[in-house]
Amino acid sequence: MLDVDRIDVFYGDLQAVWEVSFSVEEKGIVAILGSNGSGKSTILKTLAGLLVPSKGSIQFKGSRIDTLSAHKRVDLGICLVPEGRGLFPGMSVLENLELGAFNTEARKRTKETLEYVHGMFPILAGRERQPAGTLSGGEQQMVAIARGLMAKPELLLLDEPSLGLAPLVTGAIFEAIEQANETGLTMVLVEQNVERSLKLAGTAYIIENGRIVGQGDADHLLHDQRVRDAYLGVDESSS
Amino acid sequence: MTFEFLIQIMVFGVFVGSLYGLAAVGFSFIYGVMRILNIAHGELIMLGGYVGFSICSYYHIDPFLSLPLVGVVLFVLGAGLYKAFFSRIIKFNEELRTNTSLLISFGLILILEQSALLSFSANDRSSSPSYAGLGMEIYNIQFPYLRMGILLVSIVLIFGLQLFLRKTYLGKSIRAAAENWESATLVGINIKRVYLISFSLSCALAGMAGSMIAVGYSINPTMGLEWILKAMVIAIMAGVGSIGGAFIAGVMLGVVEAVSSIYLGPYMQGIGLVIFLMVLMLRPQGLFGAKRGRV
Repeated sequence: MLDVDRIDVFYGDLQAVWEVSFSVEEKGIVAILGSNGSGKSTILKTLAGLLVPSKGSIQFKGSRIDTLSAHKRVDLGICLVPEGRGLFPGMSVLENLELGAFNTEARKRTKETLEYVHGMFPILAGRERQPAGTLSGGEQQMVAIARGLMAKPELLLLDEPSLGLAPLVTGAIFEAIEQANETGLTMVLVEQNVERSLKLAGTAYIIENGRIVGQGDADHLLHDQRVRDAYLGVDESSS
Repeated sequence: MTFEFLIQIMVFGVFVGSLYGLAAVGFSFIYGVMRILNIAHGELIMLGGYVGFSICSYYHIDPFLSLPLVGVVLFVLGAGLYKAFFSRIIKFNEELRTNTSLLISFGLILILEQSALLSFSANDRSSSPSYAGLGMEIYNIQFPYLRMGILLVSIVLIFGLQLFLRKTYLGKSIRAAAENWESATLVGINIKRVYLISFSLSCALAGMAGSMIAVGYSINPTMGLEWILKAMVIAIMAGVGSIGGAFIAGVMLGVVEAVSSIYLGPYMQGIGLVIFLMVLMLRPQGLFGAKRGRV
């Protein structure tokens, strides 16, 4: 569904991503793992159109999208739930969700999608009128994911959905991700919670300093000793 | 000084204040959405005044009826100005946008003001429909029809804008762009289009304010400075980006100025600046503003 071919991405003069290639199969979950500052978020921003690769190409469902502006990619069915949630804090929860369904196709089905995301996060239904900025961190993350789903995307890009959340809330978020994937939604997941994302994902790529240094079957990586040493050190001692 | 006289002065203060609010709202709005500090807003008000005056004096169309036309002319002019000058700065961060827009609009002031001097001469003008001077009297207080019409127009335009931003999809997408432009693009909003429309809308509001100034008061090519000062005072008083607040702050300023003119005469112009400084010192987010200063 998505093919990324040897892209280089710069922030101004600073190169953040070197020759990264990967592909995402329809209905799959691909996890991108790596430490802070390794270029994971940069890759997602490039897929969403906030950054433009200086080299390489990105193909979505067979056509090149790497020079397409961000809002047009939403029309094609690519939606990013950004790190830090990126809500419209002064607008109500309902307005945030309605704006999620901004593209013409999704807008026609606003009501039905709204019911779907309320079923997924029942707590949001009671907070429709509240400004999104007044919600707790976990609730805000739910709004962010729900807003992404409102766009009726075919490919959902999730950037650190569990960052800074309490374990219980993290559980709810991951359940929602799994639930959305079961309806056939393709996803790229960037996460600090390596163990959980490997359990969820089919394929995973490991990024270091802007380069892909490892890739493979998620189950396989979960049991790979080098991966465990590098990324699961803390989890292992605690679990 | 009789009590009636004081009330009459305050009533006139409300009338002129509603125009202050209308003059300020577009200025405040575009800063809230794009962080553009358009100090040429006063010149756009002036141009709107001349467009309204021209339609009224050459085609003899009632200035209240031609108001939408003035809005459309200034909307188109605004779109042109945006494309030519302001569209280049949207790739900057917010602080740089504000600084650069200040320089651009300073240049625009010079160009627009001098062009107006050359084209329209420096004389004061005003659009006077046949019913100018008529009015009604309640308990010895005068209510001129013209000024009541202006008050009504201000209320309709300002609260219409408010309603447009709260209720329509386009309005909501403008607010979303004001709150977080990156997230706005991520939900599929064409940010360039939203900015173009917002800027043009602020120019249309300036133009309609100018047309109303020509009706109730008078216009000349150098009026821009006086009106942009009022607009800034009101934007700061209300809290930048607060739409309904701009109307209330405008009326407050109008009344305070009118009453103080009894004691201070022409020095009442300084009152607004005193209020400006006091609000900045004591309540920098404005009287009605949210802390973030967004639309």
